[in-house]
Amino acid sequence: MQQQYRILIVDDSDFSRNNISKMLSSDRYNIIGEAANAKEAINILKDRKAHVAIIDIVMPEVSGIELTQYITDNIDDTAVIMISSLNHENVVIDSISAGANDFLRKPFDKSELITSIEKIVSNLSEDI
Amino acid sequence: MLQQEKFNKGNNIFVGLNDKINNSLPDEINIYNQAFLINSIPLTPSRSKRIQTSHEYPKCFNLSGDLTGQVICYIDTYNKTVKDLSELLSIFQESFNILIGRTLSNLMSTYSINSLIGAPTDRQTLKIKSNENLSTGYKLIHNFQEFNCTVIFQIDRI
Repeated sequence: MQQQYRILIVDDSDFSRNNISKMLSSDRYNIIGEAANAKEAINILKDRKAHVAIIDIVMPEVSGIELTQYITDNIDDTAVIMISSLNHENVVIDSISAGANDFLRKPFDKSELITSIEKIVSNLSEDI
Repeated sequence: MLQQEKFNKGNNIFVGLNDKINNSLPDEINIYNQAFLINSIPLTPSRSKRIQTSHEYPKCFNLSGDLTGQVICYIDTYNKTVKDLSELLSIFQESFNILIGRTLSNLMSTYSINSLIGAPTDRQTLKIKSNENLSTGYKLIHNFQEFNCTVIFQIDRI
């Protein structure tokens, strides 16, 4: 049986969360939760492990980069794909420095997102 | 950055800023094949106060970095059939988040003007400061309808 990967979507835009969820609607991916901010995301990750968190950079109160830093420091085995409408070099560098595994510029298409996830999960240990 | 360097950079940024922003605005953007943004009105300086109509909905994005201020976007629903307003406003918000993000990225790559966008907020009234505003228009095409949208750059000029 093919392994199913657990995905968390974090974006303050309802439209963006729904859109990503639709892009990943297949047996291969299990959307364990959708969060509109960092606090909701951390609460979900306390209960359920995610292989990959897809995190928007620009969010109210706590930014996606700060959330990524928190995940890097406190949560094992959750990789991060950062998404943003910005793609300044320093924004990408800050994302990677915080621990993001990949960076996608909005708007991205389904194949870009799936390629990014598959590249990451192919390197994950199988026991999480 | 030394204060003098920052001051010099600040002065350079504002030279021809209107043209720099105009050149950085995308002509059109495909929003995940669910909406399209098409530029319909060139960037124009404006000092007059803009009145928001009862059919318009605003979103305000703060700017930080080399450029500070805000970008205020309005969608006009006058004479349109909107079955799901919250869905439309969600697409509107994300579309203009992408548009402004792309504009700022173009400003960075072409002119080394480094600014970031903040999370959007609803804003009912446009606060006019003593500076010059820049206004442009886009059509948001969604569900076989065209919505006129106005984008106002309110940049703090030091």
